[in-house]
Amino acid sequence: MNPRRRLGRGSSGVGTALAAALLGFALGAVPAAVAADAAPPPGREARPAPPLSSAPLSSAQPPSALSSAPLSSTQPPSARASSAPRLPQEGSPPASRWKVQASAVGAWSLPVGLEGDRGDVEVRRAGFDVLTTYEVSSRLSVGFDVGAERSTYRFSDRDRVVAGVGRLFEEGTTAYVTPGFKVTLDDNWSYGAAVTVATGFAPGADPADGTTASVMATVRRRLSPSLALMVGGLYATNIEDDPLIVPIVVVLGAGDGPGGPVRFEFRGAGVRAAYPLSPRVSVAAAVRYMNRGFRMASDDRMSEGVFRDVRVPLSVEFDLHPTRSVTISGAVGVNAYADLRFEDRRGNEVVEAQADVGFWFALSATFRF
Amino acid sequence: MDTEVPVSAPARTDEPVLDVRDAHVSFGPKPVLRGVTVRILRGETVSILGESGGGKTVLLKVMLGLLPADPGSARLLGVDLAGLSDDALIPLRKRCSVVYQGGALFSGLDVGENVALELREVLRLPAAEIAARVHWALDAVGLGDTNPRLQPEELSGGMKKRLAVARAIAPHPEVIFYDEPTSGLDPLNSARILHLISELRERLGVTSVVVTHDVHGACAISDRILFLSGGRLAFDGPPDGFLASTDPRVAAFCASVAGPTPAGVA
Repeated sequence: MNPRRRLGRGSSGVGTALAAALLGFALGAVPAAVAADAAPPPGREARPAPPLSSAPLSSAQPPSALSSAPLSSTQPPSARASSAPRLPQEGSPPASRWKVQASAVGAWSLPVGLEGDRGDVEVRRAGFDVLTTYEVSSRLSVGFDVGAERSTYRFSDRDRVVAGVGRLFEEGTTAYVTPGFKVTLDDNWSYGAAVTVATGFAPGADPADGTTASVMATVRRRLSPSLALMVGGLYATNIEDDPLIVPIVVVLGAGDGPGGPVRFEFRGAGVRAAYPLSPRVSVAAAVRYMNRGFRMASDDRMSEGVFRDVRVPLSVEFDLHPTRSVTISGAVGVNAYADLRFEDRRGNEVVEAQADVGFWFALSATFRF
Repeated sequence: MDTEVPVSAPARTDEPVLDVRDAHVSFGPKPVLRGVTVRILRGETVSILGESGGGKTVLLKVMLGLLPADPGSARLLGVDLAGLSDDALIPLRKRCSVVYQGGALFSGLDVGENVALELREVLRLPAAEIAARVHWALDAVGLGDTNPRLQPEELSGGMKKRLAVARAIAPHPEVIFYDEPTSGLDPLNSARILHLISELRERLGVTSVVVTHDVHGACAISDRILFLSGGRLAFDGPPDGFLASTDPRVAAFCASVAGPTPAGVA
């Protein structure tokens, strides 16, 4: 194993998309719950624990997934149900046990230089996510999340990135499914688990060769109306790399005192601070850790190798809620860190190139049914 | 370089390895190539000279099928490159190698693995043959005594260039394209690289296309010089004729880049 690669992995903190995703499960579920408990909407009964529709499962997916953080794959603005404002509900029919949230997202990272005189790279992504949840009882919710994302990389001079014959890496697809459940024991205790099966692959590659799986379980304890503690663990496999085991210990809360109305939300492997300007508009700042892996085809330059894209985007985001069931989100940000890595079929690093800091933009639309 | 070369040098023939006809390339409104016609025979060493921005690298990309000639045509090893997809280019590109200006070495692999990667991953050669070819290629470029476990960043600039050449010759290509193989090198290392290109031609019969600013080096190793000026081919002929040319564009270029002849090349 290349020591430099190991160093890189170590320095990046979390080394897998699924890890990031499942960590998001742990982190993403509770803030909404805490926030909901802290500030029940007018006319709505404050529930001891949120249904899955407030996104406990939606985060249990690769960062490329969209539902929990509709643009999280592509460096997201927020369009999650949990972050939607609580609009007046007088006269609303009883909530259905079924909830469906569908999101679509597009993002564009402007061209940036790669270290080592390897030219520029521009990245575009588009994806969708559908999260379906069902409230089996007041204490049990189950959910099923499915989504996919297409990434397009435009290298200005691919021969300077990886010299050789065949395609470098111009397109990649990720797809995932995440079933899960959440059990609420009482006002203070709940637990949940989710399993994600995902794949990332280039055109012509066998999706089965890019498959990864992960499982995560967490237990949440509410400490106060605005504070909760979550502990758990994550186990995730990687394409041609060691599996990852991550302990999870997180304190979550919503600013309900000195912090004012700012809501801190954890989603994906990252945090988002949102400030509602009105019931229909909010702004936010976010930082995330994104990690994508793709299996390449046998005719590709790195025959059956692996392409990894790790980045840390910072963003300013806004959410617009024209109705209770629709959220339009936008984001502008920079990739504070971006590292592209080509590995051979055994996972040995061939080329690693860090990208310059660059701007990106994203838009998403989320519909709740 | 006393390692036995494992392939025989094919005789020079009149078979065109590269045939570019009336090639035009524009980037937006700016024409870069304006009707360039080039024919390179098997076993020839041809250097492409010209001022910066004159279209040298663009012509190289046309020859490799990385940029289309429009209008115009390009044939590589007898195959018309027009409209070929990346996948369709793969069999052709497997018969060619490119030595990139910056070396484009694999930063995550050591010296030996840099040479071995294509042999293993693309050509799927057996391990014993890979080991033999790696040994031969490193020896051929004068890196036979270098620790193959060194990382590229531990090499000097000249050693990196030689490693790039070793990687290019290991698959036994029919054509090697060199993009500024001596840029950034001191005179001694420049001479070493040029000598290597010349010797590969003699020993392997490889067709070599060299894009360079180095007039003296190009004239020392080439059968023919192509000089591009303003996107047009201003000279196509032997080195002696190039140096003696009275074409004002050639004379101006030679005067602007005049320098000492690299030791050991002429």
